[in-house]
Amino acid sequence: MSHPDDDLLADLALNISDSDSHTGPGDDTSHAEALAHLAGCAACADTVADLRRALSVARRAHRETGWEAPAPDVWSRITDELDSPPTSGSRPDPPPGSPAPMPSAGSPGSDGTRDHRPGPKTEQPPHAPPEHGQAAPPDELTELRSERRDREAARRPRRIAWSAGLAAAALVIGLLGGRALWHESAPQPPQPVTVAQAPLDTLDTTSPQQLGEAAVVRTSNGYKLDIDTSKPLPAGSGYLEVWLINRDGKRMVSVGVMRNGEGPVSFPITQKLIDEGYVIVDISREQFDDNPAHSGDSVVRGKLPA
Amino acid sequence: MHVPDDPDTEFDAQLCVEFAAGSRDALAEMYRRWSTLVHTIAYRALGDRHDAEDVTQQVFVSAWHGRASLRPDQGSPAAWLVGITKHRVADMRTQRYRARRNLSAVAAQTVTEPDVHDDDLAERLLLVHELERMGDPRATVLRMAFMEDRPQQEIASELDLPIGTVKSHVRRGLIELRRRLEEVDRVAS
Ligand SMILES: [Zn+2]
Repeated sequence: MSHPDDDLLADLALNISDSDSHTGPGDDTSHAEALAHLAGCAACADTVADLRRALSVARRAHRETGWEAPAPDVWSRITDELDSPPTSGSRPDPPPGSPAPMPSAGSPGSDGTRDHRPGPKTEQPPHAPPEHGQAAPPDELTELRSERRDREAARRPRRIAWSAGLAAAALVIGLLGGRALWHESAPQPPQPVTVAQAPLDTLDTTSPQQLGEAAVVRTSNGYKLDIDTSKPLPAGSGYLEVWLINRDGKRMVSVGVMRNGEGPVSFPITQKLIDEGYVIVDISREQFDDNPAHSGDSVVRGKLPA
Repeated sequence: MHVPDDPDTEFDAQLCVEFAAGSRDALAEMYRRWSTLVHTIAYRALGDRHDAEDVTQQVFVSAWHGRASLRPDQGSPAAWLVGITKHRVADMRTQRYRARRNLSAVAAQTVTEPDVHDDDLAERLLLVHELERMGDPRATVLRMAFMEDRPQQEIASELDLPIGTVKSHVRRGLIELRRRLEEVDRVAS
């Protein structure tokens, strides 16, 4: 079978992460065929995982009311910097002349809602010398391209590196195209495999209480994070949000919202997150405000074994 | 991807071409359209207006110097700028971290400390910003399907649209969004 088209892959991503809302019947046959295809095609499985990540980002987006325009002088700082004689370093220099006219940090002057159109200063010579751009030291953006290629090349081996448990590893190798291995180690429609599990405990250091459990499950279409709770978690006047925190303790991503505060619920996640060390599951209490960041009010937390 | 019902796409592609060719007017237009998005991401991520404005300045200066890496065929200058923004925000954090470390030895941080970053904040703001620019009914369909998580059937009856139309908007929207995120990753990773 040739690769399913983008629309069909999008449907799979939508249906899969959305198991409780059945989209109509009708194309069940092509869905079933496409699902079977995913089990044997790493490229399409990756596409669906990416689409599910996109969906998860979209579901966690809130209507924005707090856009903040930069202060009016930022544009002139940019044109000043671009018009100043080129320097030899590849990093942009500190903005020339910015210290003098800069308003102090946190000045309440710019309320962010006004027109931020560049002022009349826009009328710079519209033709920047083209040879300046070309002769400039290679910017890191250009380097990023090749890094990205390297990263992609490194991606597949890393897939295998993480899997906990032989069965999962065999399953992953199977997905990469080792047909023989595939048949030996897994039945045709691969069953979901739990690859990591962790208790979810309160952060109370003296007597932490286990209120639930988190599990990373590999399905034929990618990974999901399952959360189950022994009883509904207290959401207070807000709601509960599930996060994956990096083991560096500094970075985190929001995985989704627990509607009722109780499990079982599951959220699509990507291999990339796990590879990058996002292994601490955290459930936080969030208020209905416009701040999409973690509130700092964690209810439970658990660390998945690497 | 060419999406016929979104006139902005065409415009964005044209803007990319002019910008990549070195037009300062195109830079000004990009600033006019996206400086608020860039600045809001930086401000939310860093919590400091001064730093956010420095990042905004750096983003547009880097964008100008790196304009050759903007691919007009991708047609998404916004995603490209957001990728650069993530980069600059990360640099700013590193600088701050060094500065703080030099001031005093920071006690070992525990993960309980809420000084953790929300990694797809930038992507979510990008999405919301794009939806605000998008025409209807597409924008409303996507807002209901994604942000409000409403079933497609319900959206169709509420907006009085054929279910097929809703479905294709949702599919297209998701595919587009994935491409935006890829573009952000390509630049930011
Ligand atoms: Zn395929």
